[in-house]
Amino acid sequence: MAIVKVHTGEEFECGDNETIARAALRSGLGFPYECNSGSCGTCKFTTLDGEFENLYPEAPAITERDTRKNRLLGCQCTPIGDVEIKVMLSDEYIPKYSPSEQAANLISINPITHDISAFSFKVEKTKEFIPGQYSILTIPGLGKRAYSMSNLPKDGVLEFMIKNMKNGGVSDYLFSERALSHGDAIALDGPYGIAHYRYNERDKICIAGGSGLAPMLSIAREHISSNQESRLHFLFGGKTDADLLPLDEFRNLVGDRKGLIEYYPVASVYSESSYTITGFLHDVLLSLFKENLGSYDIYCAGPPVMTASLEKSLFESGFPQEQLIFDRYC
Amino acid sequence: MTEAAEKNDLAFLCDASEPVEGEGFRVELPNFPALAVFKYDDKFFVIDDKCSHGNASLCDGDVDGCEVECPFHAGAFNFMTGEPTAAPCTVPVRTYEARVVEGKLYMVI
Repeated sequence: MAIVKVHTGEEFECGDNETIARAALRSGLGFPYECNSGSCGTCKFTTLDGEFENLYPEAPAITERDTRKNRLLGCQCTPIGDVEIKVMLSDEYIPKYSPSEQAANLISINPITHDISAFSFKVEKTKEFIPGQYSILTIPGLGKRAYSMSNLPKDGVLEFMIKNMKNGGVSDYLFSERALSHGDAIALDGPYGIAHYRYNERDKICIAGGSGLAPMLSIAREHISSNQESRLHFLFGGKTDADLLPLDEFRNLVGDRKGLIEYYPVASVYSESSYTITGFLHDVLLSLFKENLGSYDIYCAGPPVMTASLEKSLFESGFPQEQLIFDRYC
Repeated sequence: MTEAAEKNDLAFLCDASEPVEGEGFRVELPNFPALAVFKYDDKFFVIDDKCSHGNASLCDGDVDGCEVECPFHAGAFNFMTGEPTAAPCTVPVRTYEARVVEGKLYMVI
């Protein structure tokens, strides 16, 4: 166990296999982060004293200048003995629910679209989280992947919507017979993420692409189950109809029996359905809501190319930065 | 066009002697977001002062050549083009055309 000192006086303990960012968050500090996987760069810190092990030296978020200025990623390094660092802690990153790692058992798999399924895991102690947050799943021998919860916290069950990437990685394993039948010890660490539901009076737009459906569903489910008075619009994007959900299935999934949520399926390539809008999500968003877009909170999750296009379009339209809520996974 | 008419399209920022190389110079104008002025290679560049990633003032960041680093999360922008050059910044900041007239620095509006 090492002690990490922050230049502003805070201290926290970091276990042998823990990263600096996660150890800081577990001890209740507002260590900046988003993706927890080495790509967004939000968790950069400067080393002041001591030795560090860099777990991902080729991480895309670190530049030659960062290396020259003794910067590392908090989510990709561990201290070797006691260390001192410089980082700008901020209240917005203080976890409401302290993240912890638990063993998890896969209890069910249910298909949602042709390539996305809902995976439910049971953990021993109920995990609280805010809708929109994610966990880090570790499969022994295959590595770690961050997945967003798609359900609401209940009875120690966590549900994730996972796309089969067919690349031999974590998702391949989960889609295999082995994952369910063996009940292998899978570890779940969480909750993490700052792109979570904001309880305010502003109307909301959720924009989901592919398996980005998971956190957006969790947010929509919370919106319905907590009887919010604000309105919620939900855009779900895919390439063709096969990637999308019909309205009745969407309402069933969300638990929206009264049809309170406006649902817009969006196909970027082709659709045979007259109900589906054809186009890119960012273009469809701007054309649907151009009149008063600034009055909404916009939540989004999906492939990096989608969230990047959306962020760029919204920034160029003058949309208030703090009302765009998403985690960067570059 | 007379010089007076041209000046109607310009907004005064500061004396051209005020911004120094290696530092951002912050200017606030009515009806504009806060601006950051940079001097580099004897030329002036004007961008929005607020980082496109978080609520930070780029004038508080370190300047490295033609780039400025955000003091919050060490992302960076090329202040000549506004383009992001280091994570976590992914969206460009706005740029404005700078012009020096009789020792005073203006931006074109």
